Amino acid sequence: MKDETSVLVNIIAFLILFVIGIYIYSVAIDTGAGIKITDNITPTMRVADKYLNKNVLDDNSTYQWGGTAEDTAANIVTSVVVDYRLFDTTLEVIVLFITILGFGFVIPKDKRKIIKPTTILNRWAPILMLLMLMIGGYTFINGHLSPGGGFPAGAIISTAILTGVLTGRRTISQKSLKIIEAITGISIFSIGIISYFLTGSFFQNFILNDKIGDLFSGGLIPIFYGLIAFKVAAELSNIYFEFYEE
Amino acid sequence: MTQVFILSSLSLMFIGLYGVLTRKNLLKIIIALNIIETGINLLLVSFGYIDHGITPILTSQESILNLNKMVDPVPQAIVLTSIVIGLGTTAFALALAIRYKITHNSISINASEEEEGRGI
Amino acid sequence: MNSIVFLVVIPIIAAFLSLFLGKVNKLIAYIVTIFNLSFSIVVLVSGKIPFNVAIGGWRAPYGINFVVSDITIFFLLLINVAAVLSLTTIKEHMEYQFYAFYFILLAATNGMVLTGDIFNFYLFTELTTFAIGGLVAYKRDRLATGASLKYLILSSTASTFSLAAIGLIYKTLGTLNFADIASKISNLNKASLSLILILFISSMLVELKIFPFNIWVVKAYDASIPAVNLFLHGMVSTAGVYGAIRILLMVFSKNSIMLSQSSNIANILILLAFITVIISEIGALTEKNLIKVLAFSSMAQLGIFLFGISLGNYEALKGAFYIVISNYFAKFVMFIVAKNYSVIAGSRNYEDMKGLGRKYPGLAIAFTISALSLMGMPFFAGFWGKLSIVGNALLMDKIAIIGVIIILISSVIEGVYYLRISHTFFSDGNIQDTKLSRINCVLPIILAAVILIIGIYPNSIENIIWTMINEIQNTPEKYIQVILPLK
Repeated sequence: MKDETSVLVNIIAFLILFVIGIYIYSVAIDTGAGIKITDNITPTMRVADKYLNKNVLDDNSTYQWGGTAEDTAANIVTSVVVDYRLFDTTLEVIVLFITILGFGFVIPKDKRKIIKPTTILNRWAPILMLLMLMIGGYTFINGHLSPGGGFPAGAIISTAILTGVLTGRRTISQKSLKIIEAITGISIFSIGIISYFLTGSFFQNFILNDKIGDLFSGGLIPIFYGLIAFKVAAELSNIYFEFYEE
Repeated sequence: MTQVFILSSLSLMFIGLYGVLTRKNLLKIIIALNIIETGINLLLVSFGYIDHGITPILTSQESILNLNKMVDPVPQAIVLTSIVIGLGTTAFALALAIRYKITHNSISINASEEEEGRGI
Repeated sequence: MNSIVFLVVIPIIAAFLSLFLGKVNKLIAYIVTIFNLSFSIVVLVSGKIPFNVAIGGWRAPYGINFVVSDITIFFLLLINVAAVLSLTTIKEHMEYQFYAFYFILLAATNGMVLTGDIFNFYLFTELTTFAIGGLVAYKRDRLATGASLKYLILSSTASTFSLAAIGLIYKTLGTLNFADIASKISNLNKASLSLILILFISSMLVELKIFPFNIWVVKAYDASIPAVNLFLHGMVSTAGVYGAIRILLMVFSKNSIMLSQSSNIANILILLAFITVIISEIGALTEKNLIKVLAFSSMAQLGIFLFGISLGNYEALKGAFYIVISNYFAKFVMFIVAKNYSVIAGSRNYEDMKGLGRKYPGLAIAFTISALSLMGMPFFAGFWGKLSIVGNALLMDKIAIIGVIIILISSVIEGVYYLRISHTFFSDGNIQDTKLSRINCVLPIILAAVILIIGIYPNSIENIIWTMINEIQNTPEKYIQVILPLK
């Protein structure tokens, strides 16, 4: 790029950044009244307090390990992501869906050469794929108990398919990936609609009275995470298959 | 400790902004966008951090007694979403860049400024 | 009315189904859009407005909520009507991706209007961005790729700023709910509030087509197909206007009423509006491509709108609403006329369209009516908007009077280029015998008649506008307490 080193552009960019930096600094040292961005505010002063104490519905309720609560996921980040703010997460799935759709739409469909894989990769691929699928499955099944969840699990599962693509094994066809994508996507929203007819509000958790810390707890969380994992895996695998046309 | 996080995330954001403002190469712009996104994610997590905080995951009865030592879970949930958006943006923009290379025969962002039909 | 969530959920499910349906997609698109429109009408006539819907059963500041108030339902109707009207311009067969992008755009613009949560709003904005990016790139040729890529880079950069703003809001106020923010915003330090607002507004300015973030507009309009032009104008801009009204005037306004004239943000916005108006009028004057002229002109109209809402005066706000409505109808007419004429003339240059106004007078008359309305001729819809804004800005300080001068000069410039185009339509010229079905002339004429009716009887919509301004005036009672009832 010939004018990338243009001095004028660089100076203007530096000036803009300098002004922004000075402005942020002046806001940070401002001594006016009211809450400042530099104030030390703990989570107990935010809405997160209710998420940590699991007492959104009833202000005075408390919970015990092994007992029940309004949301029984042991991982509180998961309970925020897939229960209290579930609608955000479903939209996030749509963001991934639409961008991958756009990716497949605009990428040129030209012939690509496939380099034959080495024997080592060819032999080890099935074992690797099995391990990756196991780790992926573990990640989304335990998403409500430990760090993990649907999105990382989907990414891990899709690496198994990537390994298949690299070795030239036809593990799954692009058509079935599309079907998986649509079915999981529709099921996520169908569960929302079902809960509307069962409880009266969308995406409300209708599986109640399970115990914190159990494998099968958190109500709908494992179901949502499973669906999200397969959807993400199918979408990410779509990317690899775009480069796999024979 | 939080100040270190915030300063480093701000510097990441400034590096990224500088890249977006000055670079002409599309791939460099997309990488710069990614750097900004990383900076933002670090910034969000550091907003929820408290000194000597513990992870917001319940493991036993004792962890329920330590609820007010836990870091804020909401910024972490937001970061999870923002990572996925960043991934989507990058994938879409890269695919468009490949198409751009074919239609413009160049990956300079200035190439599309030229009039139709004139050589670049 | 928990079922309001269907407005977002049904289009999303349709987007998944559209992957398989091929030629049926067009029918599904009509069904879903008409469902959305009729559902909003049902909500309007049900008489339950305003109400609040907690998604997932979690009450307001903790879960995500949808709010339906007078402003919401007005913009909901505008967006869904725009969607139906835009669909009627699609004649040829489209690939399934087009419909998938369209469904997501429909869901996202409906969601932007309905949502009561700032992070949810950000997500819907991002969805709009990606859908528009895909739709603009639909032709996949040289122009379309460049335009789409530029739009994507610009709006992703702007959206990172707004994510930082959301983080700052959560850090300081500890909440993400619009109503909760609005009730706590007066505790915030003034300098910090300015920083948050500057960061947050940046992503809205992309949709509003205001100066530092409007480089994409002309390219995107020029590169995309006519239906996408109408999506961009009718759905995305309208949602952006809604965002500006809701967020600037109701959520982030200190003292719970309006952006006061003394605050720096209002002055910055007025300055940006000036620059937008000047740049776009000059651009339109020198441009020969009809679509580009219309794109520049819609930037100018939104600049005037931003000036109107930044003045901090309810009469000027009324004018801003009039500008939005007149621009909404007028640009619809103009884009449809431009589409039909460019098909016949075989080019988008308006000088090639000589004589078309004699052959198809209905379209050209509709175009002229819209042009006169945008210019602000008396007894057309745009006149009442410009009258209120100019009349009230005159009573204010220096910067507003500069604005008055700019608006008057811009009206003259608009007159020059629009009447030049109309004159070209009606002047002598030899045209090929291309058949244009007369049914294409019906819609523009109806919309032009609406503009005339609004212009002659402004009382017909004045009441609606005052209801909306009343909601902005009484934000604590009419918005915050709907969502966070007093205990």
